[in-house]
Amino acid sequence: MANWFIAFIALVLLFVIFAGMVIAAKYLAPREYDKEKYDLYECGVPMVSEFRYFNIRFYIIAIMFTLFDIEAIFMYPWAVYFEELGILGVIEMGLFIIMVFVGWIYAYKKGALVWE
Amino acid sequence: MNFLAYYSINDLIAIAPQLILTIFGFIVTLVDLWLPKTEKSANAFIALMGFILAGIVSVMMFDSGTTSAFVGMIVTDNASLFIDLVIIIAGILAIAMSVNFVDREDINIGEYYSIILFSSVAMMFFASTYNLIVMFISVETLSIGMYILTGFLKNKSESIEAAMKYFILGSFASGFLVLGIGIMYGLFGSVDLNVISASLTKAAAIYKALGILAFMLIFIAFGFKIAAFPFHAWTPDVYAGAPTPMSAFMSVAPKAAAILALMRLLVVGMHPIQIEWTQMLWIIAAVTMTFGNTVALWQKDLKRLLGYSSISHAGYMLVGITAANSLGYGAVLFYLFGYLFMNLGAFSVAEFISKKGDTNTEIANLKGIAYKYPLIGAAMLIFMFSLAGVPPTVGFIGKYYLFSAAVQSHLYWLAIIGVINSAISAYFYLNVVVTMYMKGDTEGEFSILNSGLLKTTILIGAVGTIIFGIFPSYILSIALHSIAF
Repeated sequence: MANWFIAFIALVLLFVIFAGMVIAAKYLAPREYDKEKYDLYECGVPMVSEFRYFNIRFYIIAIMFTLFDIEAIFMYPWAVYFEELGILGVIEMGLFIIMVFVGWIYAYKKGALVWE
Repeated sequence: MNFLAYYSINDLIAIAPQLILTIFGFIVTLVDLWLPKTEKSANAFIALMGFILAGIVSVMMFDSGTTSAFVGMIVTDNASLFIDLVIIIAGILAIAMSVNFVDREDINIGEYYSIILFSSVAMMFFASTYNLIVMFISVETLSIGMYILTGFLKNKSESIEAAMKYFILGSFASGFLVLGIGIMYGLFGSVDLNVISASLTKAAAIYKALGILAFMLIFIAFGFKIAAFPFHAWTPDVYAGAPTPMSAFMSVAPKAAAILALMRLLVVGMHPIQIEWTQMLWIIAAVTMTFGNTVALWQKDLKRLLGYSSISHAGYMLVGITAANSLGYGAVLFYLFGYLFMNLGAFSVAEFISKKGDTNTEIANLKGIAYKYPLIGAAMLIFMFSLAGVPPTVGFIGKYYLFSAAVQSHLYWLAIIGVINSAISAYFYLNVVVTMYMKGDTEGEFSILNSGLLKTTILIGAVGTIIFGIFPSYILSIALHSIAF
């Protein structure tokens, strides 16, 4: 029971500290207007214009990136256990890569990689 | 660590139907890329081949005992093969319904068929596992396919709207599912239902209460998939908005998979809290039946009517699960098998009377159709009688066994509510028949989807409904002894 009481005290303390920090920040922090501060963030590069539309093609490129990213993620654990998995691992990874490759062929034939 | 001890070729044999469908899904995806626009029907042919081959394999695998594959993550037993067969027949009939439909709607692209194949694979995995994580992954995979197929009529705003609603509500339900699985894992340290059941038996009262909470969260997702009462709201909109063949497919296949997965969850995983879940399901089953049937009384659109009717049929199936005896579980499987024929048939007739844009499916448009097309009218009569539960159709036999299972477990009131609901449902089902036969001017012009495959689907549905209504014993005995738990 004592352990639970300590845990409860810790929880209360946590909330007190949390509330204290929020309240302290509200009264102590300086509030000054800064143009950079309220600007849109874009990788540190100065903005050319705030109304910029992204080409829809970036969306498809992002999906393609995810496809290969996932492929790479699954290959890391396989590489770590390469010896133990043996020939079965090679076959399974081969099947997996074939499946992803089918996805790539699909995207290629549908013209996802054509920029024009 | 020796991984080879865990893997063997038997794992792949245990998932043979799923593998076949996956391979055919990839073939459709690839072949479609090189097919000229006029030859797109070849996709349907390849997908049909895949379904037929998978069906043959799952029939051959039947009665070969329970196989556990992939370190116990996949379990192939008679029940899962039975549901595989239901999904496969639903897929075959849905594709037969689609071929001319997609031509008319100008959505004849290969993705349509490959998505059907891939989501069928996910449904089969959903029905053959005791592992909550595998259940979550397969329910997500099948749902994504269903969202896409719902919104496939991209020029029809209702279709897009239905897909959006389905997607948002479905993601919400998945959130609850994952939360429930998380709590289960936190409590018992496992996602395997057998382990959870063993831990739940000897758990202290507080953990048992938390287990019930986690179970309820998981049940939300399952209730959403089978369209049980508080989670039913998407059903009529989605069935009315989706392309008609996909409404038909969606009303049977994912439901069949979810029902079996729900039975596995309840009967195997939640066995120690059976008293609690039977009480909960009692209420849900009663309310689902009553809600579906009463709201259907006001429906003007045939597809929307079938949407509400599918809610009430989910209620009937829940009666069988609430009975919690082997007769009830077997009767649910049998009912799913019969529901496949009658519901796909009824949706086929809705497709038959539809105009371009998948419109014009109001019940009023059936006026006099029984005189112009006597066979279609007779088939619709059979479907409506079967859905209402009139002998000698499969709907009657199914309901008879469901309610007798409830009586066997002394759930007299639930059986009485079910029978009263059947009586209510007779009103709106027979209303369709009355419209067809008695309100007709026999010289009216009909715009129909004149497709041989569609008529074949209607014929198969009608024959199946009658044959399994008159000679139910073979399928019924298979269904009753498929249940291993």
